[in-house]
Amino acid sequence: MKTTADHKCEEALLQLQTRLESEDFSKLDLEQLCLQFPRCASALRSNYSLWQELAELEVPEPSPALKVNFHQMLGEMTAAESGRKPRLAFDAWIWRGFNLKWGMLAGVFAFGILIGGLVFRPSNEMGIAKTETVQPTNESEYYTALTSSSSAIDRLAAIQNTQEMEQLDQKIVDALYQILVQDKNVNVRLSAIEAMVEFADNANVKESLIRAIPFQTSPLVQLTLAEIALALDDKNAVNKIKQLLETGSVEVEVKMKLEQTIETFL
Amino acid sequence: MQKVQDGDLSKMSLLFERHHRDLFRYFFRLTNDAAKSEDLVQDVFYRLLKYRHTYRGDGKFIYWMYSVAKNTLIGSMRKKNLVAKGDNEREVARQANPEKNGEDLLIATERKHLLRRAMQELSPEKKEAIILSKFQGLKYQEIAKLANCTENTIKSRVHRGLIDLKAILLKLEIQ
Repeated sequence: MKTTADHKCEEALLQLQTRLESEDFSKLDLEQLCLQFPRCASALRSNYSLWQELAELEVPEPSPALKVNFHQMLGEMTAAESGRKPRLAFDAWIWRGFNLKWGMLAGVFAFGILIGGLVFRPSNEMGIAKTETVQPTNESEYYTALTSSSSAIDRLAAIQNTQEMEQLDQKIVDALYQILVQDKNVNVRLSAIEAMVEFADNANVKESLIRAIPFQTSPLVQLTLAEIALALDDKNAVNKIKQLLETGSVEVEVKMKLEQTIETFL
Repeated sequence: MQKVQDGDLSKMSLLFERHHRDLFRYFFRLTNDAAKSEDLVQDVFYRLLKYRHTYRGDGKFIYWMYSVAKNTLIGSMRKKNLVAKGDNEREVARQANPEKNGEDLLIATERKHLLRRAMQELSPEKKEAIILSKFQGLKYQEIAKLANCTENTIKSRVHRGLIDLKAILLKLEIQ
């Protein structure tokens, strides 16, 4: 239990911390504070000294390669930008909060493709010929590609193809939704989310993304959908997240994050 | 940044020149890994360019930059725990002083060495609050904006962080 003196010292140290924010704070100011809180003088001096000491920790300089790499990246992006215009310009609301997730998703996705490629590599030329995919040309072909393949790689390719479409019709949205709630492969589900987010300005797509929340068992997909719900600012997600929490298939860390998401909405 | 948003990507070089060292130091203090810190800086500038349309211009550029930096680091740490622990301190010391050799550095200043270790043992929130406040020159109010919490929370994190730091240092000195 804290004594009154402890509380005073807490107050004194907080005052010190507040005043340390100013670069003008000097040792003289510290001594004045010590006079004001004589019982806490030792703690004040020790905190001040530690604060000063932190500045002495060396940090190396970045290597010249950093600059070279940056300019190379800038050059490439400038060249790419001048050559194309984005098909769908995302607004700020859709990207808010996405930075965190997509780097990881891309990694998982690429890893999944790599592993999938190794595991499901066809054993002969016939196999290779069989796995060659043909770019669908109409909604019906897109739908067939999405729903008929037993291979995760083919489903990933089919999902990726939908991103080439100008708009998603209800049949395709339903197919993507089914993938999102039923596909056993997490990478395929994540890929479906990625494809659907591209069309999140479509109310059916948005609703499907939210509706899929309670059916998720993968922490990555659970978190991704929660972040998307926040980015889409769709309050319907609150009930769906609650339903998901009630399933008991949510890890503790994810549960905390989901509860935070609900609080953010409320 | 406005010019970058308007499509003049070359103007990002100016922002890079102005901020890349600070950003590198921020990452280094958080991760204790120079090579990773460079990768993270590069990643941040890539994201700043890619998502430039999301910058609203209603705050200082550095708020936005640090919020992107924070997300970049979190994403990266989820993939792999970057934070250097006791078993790779030799590498940490070498990276902190690349011109000297590793063996000398390990014994160069025991106190600094312990302090660096202690910093790594702080909770991420407290460590970040201390680093942004002490080294990156951000005001508590600015850090609060970044962390989406109140100024008092940040002040308290810094204060408690220092208390934790002292306790960790004590523990390390006894070992």
